[in-house]
Amino acid sequence: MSTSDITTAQMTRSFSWMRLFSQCAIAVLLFVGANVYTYETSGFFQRAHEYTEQVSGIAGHKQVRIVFAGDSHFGVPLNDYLNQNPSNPAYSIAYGGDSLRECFAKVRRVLDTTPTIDTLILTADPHMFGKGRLESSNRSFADRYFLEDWDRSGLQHNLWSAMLQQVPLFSEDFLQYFRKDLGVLLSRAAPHARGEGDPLAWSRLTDEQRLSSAIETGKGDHDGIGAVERPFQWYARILDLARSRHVRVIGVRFPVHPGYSSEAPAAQVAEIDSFLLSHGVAQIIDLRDVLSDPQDFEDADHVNEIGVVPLVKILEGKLQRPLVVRQ
Amino acid sequence: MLFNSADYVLFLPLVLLVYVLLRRAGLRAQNAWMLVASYVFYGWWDWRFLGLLFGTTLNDYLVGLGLERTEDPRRRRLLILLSIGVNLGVLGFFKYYNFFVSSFIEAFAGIGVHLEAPTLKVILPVGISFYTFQALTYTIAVYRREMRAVHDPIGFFAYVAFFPQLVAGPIERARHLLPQFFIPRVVDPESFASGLRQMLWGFFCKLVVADNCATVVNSIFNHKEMLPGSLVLLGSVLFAFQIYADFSGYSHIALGTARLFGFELMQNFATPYFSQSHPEFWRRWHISLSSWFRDYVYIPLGGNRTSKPRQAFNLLVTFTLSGLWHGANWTFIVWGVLNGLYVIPRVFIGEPLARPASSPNFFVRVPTIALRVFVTFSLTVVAWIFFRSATIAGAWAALREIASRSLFTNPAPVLRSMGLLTTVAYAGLAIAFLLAMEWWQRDKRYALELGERASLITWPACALVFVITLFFRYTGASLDFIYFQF
Repeated sequence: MSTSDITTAQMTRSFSWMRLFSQCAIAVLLFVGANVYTYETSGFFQRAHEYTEQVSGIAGHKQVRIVFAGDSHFGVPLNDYLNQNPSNPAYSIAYGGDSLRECFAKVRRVLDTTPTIDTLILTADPHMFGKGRLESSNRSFADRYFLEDWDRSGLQHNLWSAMLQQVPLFSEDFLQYFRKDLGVLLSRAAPHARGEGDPLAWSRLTDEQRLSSAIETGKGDHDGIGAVERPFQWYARILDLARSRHVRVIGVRFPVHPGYSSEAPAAQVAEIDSFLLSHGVAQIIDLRDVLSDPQDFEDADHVNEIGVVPLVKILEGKLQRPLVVRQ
Repeated sequence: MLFNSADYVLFLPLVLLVYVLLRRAGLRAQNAWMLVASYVFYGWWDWRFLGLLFGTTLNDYLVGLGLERTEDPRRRRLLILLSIGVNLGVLGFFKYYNFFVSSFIEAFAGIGVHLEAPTLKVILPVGISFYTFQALTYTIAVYRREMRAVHDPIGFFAYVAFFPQLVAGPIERARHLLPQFFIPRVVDPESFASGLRQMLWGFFCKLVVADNCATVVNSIFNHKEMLPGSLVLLGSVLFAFQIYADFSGYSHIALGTARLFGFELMQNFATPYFSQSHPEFWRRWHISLSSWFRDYVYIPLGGNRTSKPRQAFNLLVTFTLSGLWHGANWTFIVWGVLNGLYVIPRVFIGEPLARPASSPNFFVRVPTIALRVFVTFSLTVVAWIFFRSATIAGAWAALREIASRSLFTNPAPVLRSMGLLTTVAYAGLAIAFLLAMEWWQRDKRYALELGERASLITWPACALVFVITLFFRYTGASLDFIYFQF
């Protein structure tokens, strides 16, 4: 083999590796670009952004003493009502779809950042102890808090796996959201969205329609309540956390349609109450039947922007503390 | 450690990086590193399994040396029996002890004799059926003087524990893989890229095809009540693709990973569902195992150099043992026997429709081939029903349902009520894509073997498979590879 042959062979070889690496680099760049694009444009990540902003937004509320944590039962009526005014003494970190795991992650974060909080109003809704709340659609949003706190106890697998899940196109939750969107697009079905701008839609239904819808929703939401251990474990962790920060915890249930609450077996609800009280909940305020006017509801289990006004007044009376600053 | 886990995403580049850096330190250093990495990979499940792996490897290593040092046929026979005894003994104890004891008790209970014998709570070590069979190929090869014994323990231990194929094959022959630990391994850019592409194809098979099918299959086969025949048939067909994509996916990832390190493993699948007969199917399905049984069971029994009835008997024994290898359950044995029965008629009557299948006339040839492929696939699905069912009775019930009028009920409403309709659609599309790609590349070792094709095709094809894998992979708790249980 002549010198020129060797040189050519070496050049070909190095060129080939170079070519492979450059192609891989381009592929990686495209992947990064696709991730950035997905993060910036997908509704899922807008929701993630909104989720974390709500938690960090408490920093702008210097007077806050009371914080609400729960799912949409709290979030739908309270988030706008409480969080808009930075002078209000109460703030809601509740978010639709949260399970008690997400509540724990967020409560820990706000207690870390906001030492003025002395009371935590935590959902005591029976459905939070059901099978349907073992996995939350906000799982990966809350993963972020566990990762930042370097706490693997709340993560499904391990820290490394959770880190990979934070990459938009590796996120399984994003994928499910994407597929659901794709399904809606392909079936040309209108996505079901709560609060489509008409707070009185529920009141326009007949009594029978409301009852039947409430029972159906209640049945699904209350499937297996009290039968699984995990929600109790998370609740106990929240109570331990609050106790260590000298924060009082009050369990609250918001108004729902009677048909909805009838699907939560009384014996299971009593068991839940007994657990909460024995683990440090100072008081359970059950407001499930305090509102009965359909105009106060968005649907069977969510108070609307009209109902929230009397509801907050009732709650203030029970707590004997103001939740909002009134002019 | 699972290939489809986040841990592996970290493990593989790290192992590869150190392996490349050790190039200057020599082969022995690289082998030592492979050994460490393989033990870490295996110990990730349960570190206690490592003792068993180490023990059986040590036994085979010493037997190999012993075989080389003695010419006495009696001593040599004793040594090979020791190796076979230890490997199959370990396998038998961990895998079959409880099965044989309980079957024995049940058999006696059937004639009114009630026996009591202890059953043990033993965990089946992952991949035990694979590495014991692989280790045996070494001692048998040394015994037959087909190769010399290995003196370097690091190379030998690394061969038995080689992590890409340790837990689910391919079951390598010592003569093929072992020498690769002792010659300089060259990784060129083309083979490296080929390894990456084969891994990508493997991930597509596993995450998109197998796991989406698994969701539907598990819901159908684990359903409390028997579902209509149409759904059972759907579940059975999907299972055929689930097990294929799951296992071939694993093999592709294994072969691709090995290639990144400069190793070439044997091909384990060659588009088996395009087979026109069962003998052909078994030449294309789990090639490393079927050829193992051919070489170490069928041929020693006399193979096809005997009378036709004896040949049929040999086939039946081989397939029954192959069924038993898969698991300690009568369903696997029936699956093996069924496959044996599918193959045996060819011994006596030859290949049905062989002539029209090779006819120059397109309109004769293509429908004949299609018919043969369809019949072969259908019979395979029937056998898979036994493989997938928990009990023989369950398999019969499933077959009865398929043979009933409920076969003609519309499965869509039930699937919708079970929340599976979309998953079935994804699984169906994924299977169609898999078959299309395999048909297009049917003369290649894997569907993305595009080295000779223009990069105008290579990159879009890879990008397409990557995007499909990313967006249509199964989401949920990681599903183990099916063959890990064997």
